[in-house]
Amino acid sequence: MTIGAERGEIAEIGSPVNLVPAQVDRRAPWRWTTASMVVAALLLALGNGTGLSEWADDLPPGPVAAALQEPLHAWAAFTVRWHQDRPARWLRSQWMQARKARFGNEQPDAAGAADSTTAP
Amino acid sequence: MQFPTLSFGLFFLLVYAVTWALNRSNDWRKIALLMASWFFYGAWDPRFVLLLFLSASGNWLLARAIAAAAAQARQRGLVLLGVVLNLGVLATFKYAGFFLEQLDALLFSLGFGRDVPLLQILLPVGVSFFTFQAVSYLVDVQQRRIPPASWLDLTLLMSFFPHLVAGPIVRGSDLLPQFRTAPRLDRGAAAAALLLILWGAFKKVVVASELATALVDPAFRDPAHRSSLDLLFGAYGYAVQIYCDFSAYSDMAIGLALLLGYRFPRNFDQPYRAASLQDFWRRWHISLSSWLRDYLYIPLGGSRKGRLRTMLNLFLTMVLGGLWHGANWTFVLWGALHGGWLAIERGLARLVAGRVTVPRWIGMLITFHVVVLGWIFFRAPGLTDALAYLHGLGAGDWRNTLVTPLSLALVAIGLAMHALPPRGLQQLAERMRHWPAPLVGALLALGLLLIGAMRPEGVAPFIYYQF
Repeated sequence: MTIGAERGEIAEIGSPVNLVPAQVDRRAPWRWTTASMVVAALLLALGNGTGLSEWADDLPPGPVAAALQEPLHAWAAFTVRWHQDRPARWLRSQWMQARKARFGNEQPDAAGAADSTTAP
Repeated sequence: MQFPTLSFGLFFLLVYAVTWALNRSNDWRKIALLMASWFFYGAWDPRFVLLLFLSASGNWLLARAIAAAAAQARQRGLVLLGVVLNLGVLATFKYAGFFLEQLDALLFSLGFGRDVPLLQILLPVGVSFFTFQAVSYLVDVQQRRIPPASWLDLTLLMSFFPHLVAGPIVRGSDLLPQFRTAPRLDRGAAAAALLLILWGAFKKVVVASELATALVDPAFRDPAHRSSLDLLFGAYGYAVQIYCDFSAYSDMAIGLALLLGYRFPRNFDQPYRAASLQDFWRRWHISLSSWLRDYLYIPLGGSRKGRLRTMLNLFLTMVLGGLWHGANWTFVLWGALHGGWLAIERGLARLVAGRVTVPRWIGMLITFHVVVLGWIFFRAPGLTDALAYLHGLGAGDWRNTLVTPLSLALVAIGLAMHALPPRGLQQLAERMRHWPAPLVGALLALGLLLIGAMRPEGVAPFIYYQF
């Protein structure tokens, strides 16, 4: 993602985020960044309510976890009812299918598999 | 609290809001960042915060004394004291148990029995990083590269949460000048930061974590019962895993710091494109390799004291660099392999200078395989395991019992990342800063949803947390 090493110098000088300056850089940068992050957070909350609820379940037991679990479970149930979780579930199922694909009978989960087949 | 988790995301959003709200007062902003950093570090173990506080305060006092000392001999003495104290902290927490074990084994072999008490000391996360940071700060103050910093600035430099637990090793000369004034955000930097965080999350959550569970861990768990093909791809898989894990941490650290207004130096530069091992160390963990060069290799004499001494200096630097990673003979051997090969490269380059030109792709292929060989020692839990792995690799059993289409694709993706345009991220950020915020937010959410869908159950800690 960065340049420098081809020219032979130790490339610690400079940052991988040095861009060519532009006028737009100074146009309400904090508002633009914050709005981007808020929109992303809201869309994630809409599209991954189940993930939020699972996160609350994994929190160490205590008053914070207890206060969060009920509303987040209710939110997750709401998103499921309105099928907002469908894209995330579909993506997950595709990924799980890719994980199950095999060339032959390889067993990555087995402790040791080479000794279970006949040596050539 | 790990970077690519919801808990950290919420923590970061809060820190982001508070620090920018306090931007009118640079001191209050830095105090808020320091408190947040200590909270972040204390989430591992609150006792670590006390160690960090004591280390920063001690180094602050020493730097003031160095700057105030008139005689150079006194300055040097104070730097030496600081180096000994800092390395003493590192030695106590990281190496005491290891050296006592070796002493115990030696005494036992000499017939003195087991008399040495064995220690089990809890290793504070990131101790190697902030110790090296402190050493470079003291040396830089003594050599007048930077003026001594205020207590707040130095403590924040050492505690700043984006780099605290796994680097990059951000030197005082990089960050302290940035602490002197309240930072400003710009759209281009913010766009690059968001892209780096997303890219880092993809590398860590999807590539590194999946490869760890599906390919690397099974290969290294029981190498005696895996075929040579499994072990070969297990080693390639680890090369991709450690790159995608560690560079992801660096990318996210750089992105997070940037969203708070601070710039970190780059730490990775497509390392598997390197055509020699020397080139590799200009691209891999750049903050460590440049630290070792400036504060170890050059003080040892560098290349100024003849050919043999240069080779010895290279070898010693890399062995100590290996030991920096942990108290284990596997790390020493990893460092020795790198140091030895660097010395051979240097010797060969002099021998054939101007007579033989090796095509770049051959250099890349050889260098990659030397690095992969080193990773086997780096990843194996012990020396016996590493040797068993190498033995299995050479057994000539080429059946596949481990490599799945997905793990093969991820290895290919991890290597293909090295063929991306070197300024690809910057070019995308230069376009993205013109887009409206809702579009950027929507694309970010889509990216994170995709990453979330591909995550394994539970994301393992970053590899470099243990160092």
